[in-house]
Formats: sequence, structure tokens, C-alpha cells
Amino acid sequence: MKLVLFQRDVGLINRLMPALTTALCVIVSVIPAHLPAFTAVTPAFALMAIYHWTLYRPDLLPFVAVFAAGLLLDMLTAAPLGVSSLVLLFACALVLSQREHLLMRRFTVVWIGFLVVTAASAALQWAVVSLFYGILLDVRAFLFQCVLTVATYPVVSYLLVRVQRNVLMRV
Amino acid sequence: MSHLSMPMRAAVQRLALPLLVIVSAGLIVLGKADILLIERARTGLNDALAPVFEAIAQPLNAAASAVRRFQDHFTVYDENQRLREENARLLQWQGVAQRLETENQELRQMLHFTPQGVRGYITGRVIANSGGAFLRNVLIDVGERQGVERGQAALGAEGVAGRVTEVGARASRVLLLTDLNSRVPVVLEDTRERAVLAGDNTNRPRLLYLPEKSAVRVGDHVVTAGSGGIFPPGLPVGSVSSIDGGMVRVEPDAELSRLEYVRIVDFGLSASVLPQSVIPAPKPSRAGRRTAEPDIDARP
Repeated sequence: MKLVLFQRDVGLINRLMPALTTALCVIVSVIPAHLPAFTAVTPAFALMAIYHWTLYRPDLLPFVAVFAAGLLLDMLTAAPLGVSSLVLLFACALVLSQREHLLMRRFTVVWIGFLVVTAASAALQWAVVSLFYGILLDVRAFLFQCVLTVATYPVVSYLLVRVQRNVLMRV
Repeated sequence: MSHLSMPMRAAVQRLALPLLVIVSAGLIVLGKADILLIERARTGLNDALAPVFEAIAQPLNAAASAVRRFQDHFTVYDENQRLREENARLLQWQGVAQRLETENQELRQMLHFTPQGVRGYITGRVIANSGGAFLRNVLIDVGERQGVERGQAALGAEGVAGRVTEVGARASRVLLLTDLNSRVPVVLEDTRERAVLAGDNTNRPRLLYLPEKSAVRVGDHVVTAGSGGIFPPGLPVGSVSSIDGGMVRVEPDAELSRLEYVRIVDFGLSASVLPQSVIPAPKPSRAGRRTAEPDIDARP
């Protein structure tokens, strides 16, 4: 009886893995990297986690989790509340609509898919934030973050695949 | 949701997306109104997560300092040379400063001038930064408990970094000079012309409201004006880096993209809007990071 309970608990933790890694990505994105060559802009780690899990295990990352990740990000960065939720939900929907074209493909294809999703999300974010503040924001910072995010994706993707293989195989 | 049947669950998922999008949009509109509740929730969350940030930052800091130590090996000779020269120069300045200090005191006594003294500094470490494409703020690990108050000025190593906008029990947020919402009254050190330094999300904030026939030149130094009752006057802010038509940009003295520590200036200005009789006497210095003199790093 106890063993069954224990197994169920482990199963629960495993099932929560996508949401937990997404939350971790959110936190990592606000940790200051005091590395000499690092600038004020950090890659959008949360977007990477959401892209990955929506592509491979959408059943384990419900929309509510995506929404919550966005809220957490906005709270931590003091951004207008709801902007990140909106952008991440949009990215999630975009991935779901293109899922069959991206699944079971070479990594390059997945990476290009991520490039498209990142660019579209950044464009939406730029539009929403510009509307919020009532001025046209400088596009360069958004572009720079896009480049940085796409360039870092393979590393994060590798780590998430490891989590997926080691933890989620049995779920 | 495991008790729901498959089609039911799919329906819920399908409905969830538009619903959550509407909620997000609603939150954005609500946020326009600067609701106190949202700010309270934010400071609460910051307080709760501050230990987590510190735990994660520890190995990262160690890695960063390892990288730096490795790099330092190659530059140690040049660096030493540079520091010797700088030391000699600074010793000269020390002499000058001491002389001026004495002279200042004498003059003040003659004029019966009561200075608006700085009450102290609170040193905090940067534990999180916004890092996004359109926000420039940092979270520091000192808050109400250490005596931080909303509106106080935050200094980087070389000059003003920004202003405290949110204060929690043990973490506060500093809005950097470069943020879209940052407005700081400044004055050009040489010409005494007043202006407002306005962040616009680039690394170099703009000078607004300069007089029409301004004599501003590239390289002019900009300091806080002290008007508006937020910052003490005369804090170094930056120097004019470019003048392009009416667009004057300022390169901040503080290295805002690599802030590690900030000093919060307790100037007692939050009380200056009150009538004289209501201004409380300076609090006795509390234990912790508060020091009477500017310190390099008060942490043990």
C-alpha cells in the first residue's frame, strides 16, 4: 500500500517536471550573470522551456501553467502584469498549431521553428509594450534578445531533453 | 482533472486558452492603473524569493569570480602599474580634499550654514535584474529592515544608478536611470543649466527640457539637481556623450549593466516635504549595514 502511494507521489513529481523546469527557467532569467561580457539583456529562458514542452509533452504543460509562468516573470521583473502571460500563451498556441511539422524532425528544423516562434513572440511583446506605454519602443533591444535567445536554445534544449529522457520516460 | 473524461478534458483545454488570453489582456489594462494590490503582491513575492535568488546566485558568482581571476592573471602587471599611478594621483586628491574640507567647515561656521547631511549609506547586493528587452531595474537584498525607504537614491560604484521604487521587508527594487520610467532632475556641472534625465531603454538616457540656447558640450559632467526632493544635490550622474540636434544623450558614470552592489543614500529627504517641526531627529545608526561614512563595502 505504502509503495503504491510512494509510486504515485513520484509519478506526480515527474508529471510536474515540465512546469517545475519552466518555473526554474523563469527564475534563472532574472539571476544577474556577473560575467564580464554579459549585457543587461538576458535570453528568454522561459520561452525555451515552453517551446520544448509544448512541442514534446503538451499534455504535461497546461495553458494554466504557461499563464502562471508569465505572471511569475512579470512579477519578478516588475513588468506590466499580464504581458509575459499573453506572449507565452501566444507562443504556446503557435507551437501547437505547427506541432506536426516540427515533431520527429532533425534538430535544425526544431531550431528554425524556435527562431520563428521567438521572432513572432518578440514582435507581439514589442507591440503590446509599446501600446502600454504609448510610445514606439526601440526595436534593437528586442532584436538583440531574440538573437541571444535563439543562440542559447541548443544548450537549454539539451538539458531539457535530458530531463525528459531521465524523468519522464515512465509518465 | 483525472476524473474527467478525455473529450471533456480536451474541451476544457480548448476553452482555457482564450479565457487565459482574456485574463492576461485584462491584467495589462488593470496594470495601467498602478494598483497598490499588484505592487504589494510583487514585494511579497520578492521577499519570499530573495533567499532562493541568493542560493542560485552563489555558485554563479563563484564562477564569475573564477573567470575574472583567470583573466586577471594576464593583466596583473599592467593593472599593478595602473593602480600605482592612480594611487599617486589619488593621494594628491586626498590632500586637496582635506584642505577643502577644513576650508569648507570654516566658511560654514562663518555663514552659520546647516548642511543637509547624508545620514548614512545602506549597501545592498544585486540579487536579480529584469534582463528583459524593455525593463531596466534590479532587485537588491536590503529592505525595510535595513532602513531602505521608497524614493531613496541608489549609487553604483561611480555614480547614481537609480532610485528605489519598491521596498519589501528584505528586498527592494531599484529603477535604473536607463529605464523608460526613470526621470531624474539634473544640472550641468559647469553651466548650472537644469534638465531632466529621462531613460528611454537605451544605454544612454536623454536630457530633456534643456534651455533653448544651451551651451551644452560633449563631455560636460551632469550631477543631480536636488530639486524634486528625491535626490541629494551634487551626486555624480554621468557625462554628455552625444549631441544630435535637440537630442542630448548622457553616458551614466555607473556601470549599469554590471551592477553588483549598490549603496542606498539615506538623505532624510523623504521628510523634507513636511514642515520643519514634523521632521524626526536622525535615527541612531542601526546595527547592520548602515554606516555613517561612505564605505566601499560594509558587508562582513
